[in-house]
Amino acid sequence: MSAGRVVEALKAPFRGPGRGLFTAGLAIVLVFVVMAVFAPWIAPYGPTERSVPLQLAAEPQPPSWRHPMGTAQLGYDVFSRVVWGSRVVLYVVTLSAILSMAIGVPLGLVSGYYGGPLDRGLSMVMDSIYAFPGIVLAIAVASVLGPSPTNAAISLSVVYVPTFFRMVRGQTLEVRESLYIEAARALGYPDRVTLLSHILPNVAPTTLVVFGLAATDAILTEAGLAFFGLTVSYPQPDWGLDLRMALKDIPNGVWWTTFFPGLAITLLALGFALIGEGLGERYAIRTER
Amino acid sequence: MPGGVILEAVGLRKYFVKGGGILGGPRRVIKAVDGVTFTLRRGETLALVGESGSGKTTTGKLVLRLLEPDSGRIIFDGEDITHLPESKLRPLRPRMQMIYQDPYWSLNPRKPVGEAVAEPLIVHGLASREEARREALKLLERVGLTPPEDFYWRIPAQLSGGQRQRVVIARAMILKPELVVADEPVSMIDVSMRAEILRLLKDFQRDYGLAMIFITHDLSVARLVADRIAIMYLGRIVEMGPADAILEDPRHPYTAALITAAPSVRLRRRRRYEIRGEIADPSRIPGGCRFHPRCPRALERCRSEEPELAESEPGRLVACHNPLPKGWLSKWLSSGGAS
Amino acid sequence: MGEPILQLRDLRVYYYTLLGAVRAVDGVTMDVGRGEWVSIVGESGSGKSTLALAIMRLVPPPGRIVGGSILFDGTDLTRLSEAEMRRIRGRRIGMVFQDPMASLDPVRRIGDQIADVYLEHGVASSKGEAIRMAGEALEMAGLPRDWVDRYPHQLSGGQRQRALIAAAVALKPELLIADEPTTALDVIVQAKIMDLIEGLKRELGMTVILITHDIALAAERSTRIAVMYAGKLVEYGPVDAIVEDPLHPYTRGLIESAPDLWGEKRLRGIPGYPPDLRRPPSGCRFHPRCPLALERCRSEEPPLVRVGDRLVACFRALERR
Repeated sequence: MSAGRVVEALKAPFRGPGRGLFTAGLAIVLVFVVMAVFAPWIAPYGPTERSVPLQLAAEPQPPSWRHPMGTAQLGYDVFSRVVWGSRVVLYVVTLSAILSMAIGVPLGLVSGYYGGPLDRGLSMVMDSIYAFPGIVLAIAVASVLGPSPTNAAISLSVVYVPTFFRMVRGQTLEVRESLYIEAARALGYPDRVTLLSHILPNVAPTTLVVFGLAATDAILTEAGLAFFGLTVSYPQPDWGLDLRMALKDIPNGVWWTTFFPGLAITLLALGFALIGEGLGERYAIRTER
Repeated sequence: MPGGVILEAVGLRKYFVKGGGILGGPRRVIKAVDGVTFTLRRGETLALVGESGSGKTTTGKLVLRLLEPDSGRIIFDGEDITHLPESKLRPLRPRMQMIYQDPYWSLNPRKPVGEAVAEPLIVHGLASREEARREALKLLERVGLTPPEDFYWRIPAQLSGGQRQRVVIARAMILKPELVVADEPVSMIDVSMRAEILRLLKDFQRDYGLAMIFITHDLSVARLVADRIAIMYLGRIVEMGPADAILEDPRHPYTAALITAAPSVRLRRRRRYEIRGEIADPSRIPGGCRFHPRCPRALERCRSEEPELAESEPGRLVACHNPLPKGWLSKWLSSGGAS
Repeated sequence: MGEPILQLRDLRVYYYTLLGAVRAVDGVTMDVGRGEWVSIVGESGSGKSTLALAIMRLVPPPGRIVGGSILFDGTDLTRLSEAEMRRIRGRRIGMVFQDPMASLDPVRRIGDQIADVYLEHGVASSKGEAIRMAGEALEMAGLPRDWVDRYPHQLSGGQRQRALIAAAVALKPELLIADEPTTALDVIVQAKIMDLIEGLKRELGMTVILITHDIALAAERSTRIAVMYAGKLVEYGPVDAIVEDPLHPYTRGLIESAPDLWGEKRLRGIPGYPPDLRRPPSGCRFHPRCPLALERCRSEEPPLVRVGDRLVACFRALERR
């Protein structure tokens, strides 16, 4: 593949239908990526640094010029914690999406292409996982593995492997019936070539769409895991965990400690959702959700 | 000119079963191919002619083992390949190729067409990537996609139907096959571009000495390419012989009906040999001669006894109890006037 | 050929796509006489089907009639409201399409579908009467009367096309437009369907417009043939003149491209490919593929000119006048 063609392929989502959604989504996600990568330079304070004089630390302080998102208990700067927290979220979500793709896509390809007992067995396992509510399953797996960001990513990928599997298997079944797949057999291509060179490229756009949608879902589920303390332990920064720690502030009229971490979760989820929807529109893919 | 025998098909049968499940409706056995026998020599073109439902495409796929025959034998270059497993068949596949009717879906929509043409050489280990690319460029040029460098990286959607069919031909021919099954290769191509596609096929045939099975519903196309013609009806060959002989002097009433029904600019007012109704559903093939319910010449015997495909004169075969007499067509047309 | 029943004047139909306007029909002027059988012949992209849809005012979006007029029996169809047009469709102009399965509702009986025509146009007062009339229409199309009870899947391809023809001629229209009615059928059935249309034409005194890519099929039945290329009418005249002495190089190419059981045993094609109708070539649209093109053909568009009893748009043909 020439460099020119790689550039062409990368430009594709910015053209045709859905390009507005895709670009907006990508912009949002990039903002958070920049935040995570450059956290030490962007965040005015460390995540667990007391940012106000000791006498003020007991009570959360409302947003001000010094603390645009206010402060939380123990004098933590909410803005800084949102910035640092993006690291955990992005790590968990990206790792889980990649893991579930790496497992779900090949299984879906093989299952859809060969069919038979293997397909029936795999489909049954995947369907039963799929039938569980995602958050419940993730909590169950994460509790077994123990709290850590990597374990959280693994438990999330257990939830999303079936999503990739089902989409890819369905597409493979469809593509398998195409005339060009019969043509590949007539040309004497071994299954490996047919799968990698003829089916995978036709399934790939779907995979990208599912990636966007699974990442969206994963952000919310990750927040859920964090809420139950299954990613990092306080006082390490994580939006979901901060949300939970700040719940007790709400009755006291302290809104900023929950509002800003919640907003961050919503915005990042929106970003991934827009990317998925944009790609879906671009490649005219219907997703079952 | 025709050489040694490259392909023998003996008594091929292929039935498809439809329905029969809980929700599948009544079980129907579709007798797509129901006892087909022919031989093909190197350098020769045999046209399989018939309407939809005649089993011509299924026959083409059976001889290439793209479908499994229920019975019968396929002998390719002296080797019985009827029951070869796919792994043993794969090394033979480059020697026998297929060209499809639909130039839109026989190419991978996401693969640049130059890569599609080069790929068979690479996959079969016949050339390095670089050599395969050079060879593909040569083939693209040969099939008229010039300049080939311009076409190499295009995807099928950027080509017209006629151009895609050229790609399909280049992809099949890069392997220098000995046998090609061409399934209605021009029926989806615009009229003004058909001649060029047919000429390409004939040129490759001459250069490689390849044997061709040319599947078509159109006798006037068959006439242009075929050395021999086999007329198929409901899964069987009803008449077979040299192309000119069949077209000038048909023996089977069905052949006569096909010939006289073909639209023509040259012979606009001609008498049609009328037959009744339409081709039967291949899951309900009439008993006796399968053509008898439509046949104007049917005898009592035709209802009960299926005629065998038998030699009527040297080189010509017909499956009919009451064939048309010698010289029938010219008399029919000259005594005709408007139908 | 009698007074004209249909007069197209500089008709233009464009499809507005993201990549520009596709000029599918680009200034077509022609008359069809009452009682004629005119075949419009062309390849894909010639605009022949769009022309047929335009006459019925059924051009699907993003296409629309952007200019010119369609005079049907003196009335300009382009100026009618949709309600007025509905009264003409089916009643005064019937239409048969290429794919009989796509035009029939698979879950409704044939009789009910034909009866709709009578009920919509207020010809039948009750459902029962409409069904009875549908039976008569089926009989006219060569199917048994009691097949009103059958479903489309119980019919063969040719029988379905007969049922659709029955629906199209149910109200004895003055004009029948048939768009590739036999493309999905084999030759023997095709000939019978053509016989049927010819018979109905005689019986009902209809005018027929046949849209086809097959010039041989057109040559066997028509009174006149119109040849279209890239949205333009390039030649129009009596059948014998067109097929025996074509004046336009494209018409000649098309005839020589059609394999013929009784013709030469070698086939000639036309070099090159049809043009992109978003950016049609300058001058004569056929010049890039034309063996006879002059310098003038590149820059100047040849007008449609009367030569004897036909019309032709070609500078080289004019030299012969």
